[in-house]
Amino acid sequence: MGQDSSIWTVGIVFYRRHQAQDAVGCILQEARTYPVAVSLGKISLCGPMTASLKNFPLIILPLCLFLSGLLLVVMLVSYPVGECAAPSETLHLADPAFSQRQRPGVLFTHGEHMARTECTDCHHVFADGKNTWEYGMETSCSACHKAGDRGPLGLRRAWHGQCLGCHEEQKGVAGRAPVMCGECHVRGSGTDGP
Amino acid sequence: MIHEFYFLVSGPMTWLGFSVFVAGLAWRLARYRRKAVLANGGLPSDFRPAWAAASITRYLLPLNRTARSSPWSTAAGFALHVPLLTLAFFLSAHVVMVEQSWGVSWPSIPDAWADGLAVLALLGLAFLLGKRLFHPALKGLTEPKDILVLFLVALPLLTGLAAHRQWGDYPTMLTLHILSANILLMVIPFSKLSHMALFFVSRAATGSDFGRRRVGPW
Repeated sequence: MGQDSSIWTVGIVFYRRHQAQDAVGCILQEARTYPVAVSLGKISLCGPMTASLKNFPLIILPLCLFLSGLLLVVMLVSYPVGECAAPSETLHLADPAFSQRQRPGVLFTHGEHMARTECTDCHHVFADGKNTWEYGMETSCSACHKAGDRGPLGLRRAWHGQCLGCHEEQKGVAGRAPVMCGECHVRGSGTDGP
Repeated sequence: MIHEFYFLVSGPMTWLGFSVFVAGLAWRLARYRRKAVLANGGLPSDFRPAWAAASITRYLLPLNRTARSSPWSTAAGFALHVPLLTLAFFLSAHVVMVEQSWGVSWPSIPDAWADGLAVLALLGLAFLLGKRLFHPALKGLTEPKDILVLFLVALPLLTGLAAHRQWGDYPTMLTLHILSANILLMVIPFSKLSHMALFFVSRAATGSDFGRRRVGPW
């Protein structure tokens, strides 16, 4: 988090204390837990938050917790359950399952991709060869694909295949999708990692 | 525009590069054998595999007499070769490219090592260039093509380092990196860089010969 870290973010991180040590990269999980918060664009859930936590005056924490809880309740009430609340903004993809991250995480324009493809072009749960994924189901790749697996369904190959699989077919079209390593893993993009 | 060029160099040109590299080196090895047969009227019947292996080993670990008489050049040679081959085969970006294209994978070095290894290799090259230019004896033997191959090896290292650090215009840098590596692959069989394959046969022949003469494997 930079200077723009909001009081709400800290409150949420505190609330989800078990994730505070590595809040970076669990954006997909965060998005699943707080889809409304992300879709409203009020709260940035990207970036390392541990440092800001350490220096935070302890006395404000209960207040943050209360206010952020209140905000969440207001948001959840104002959005009926079942309405599409998938994140329309840029997500920071940096799966915490990669314990020794080699490259920076990826800033992923979820909204732009929603405009171009179906949810089930990426999100998937296969049963009998059919994609049975529906909104509200698992969105974290590492829930099934494992970082230690070097096989075709290992986490790294699953991620790269998911993005490059489509991007490489887009060659030659205007506004061509990124295919080179550093076009997605951008150094100094304000994300974590080397 | 740069992306079309990227697809060209990372696709068809890479296939061409590796094909020329493999076929070219195979041709050089066959030519070496043919010339050896022509010169001696057949392959030596008293070839000493143990001496050949000993000599190759002494050159791969720096345990030979040249390493003792020219320690700096040997150090520069290892500073160039070890990082160069380590990066080529074990850089994560290279492994991921193969992984995505062919579905085979192997372990990679930590990315944090890559920049240091590239700089080490470039320093080794700089030393060898300096020796070519300033060493009294070597200067007289140096031809422009000897300087050129050093630059051809330096180019993929320089552009690879810049692409890895994402200096300059990244898409252009990465495209230049792949282009320069492909050119290097195609030059290897037809230049002194063919020592990549021929070192092993010439060193084996020399080692065997020294073994027959009982002068030690050097």
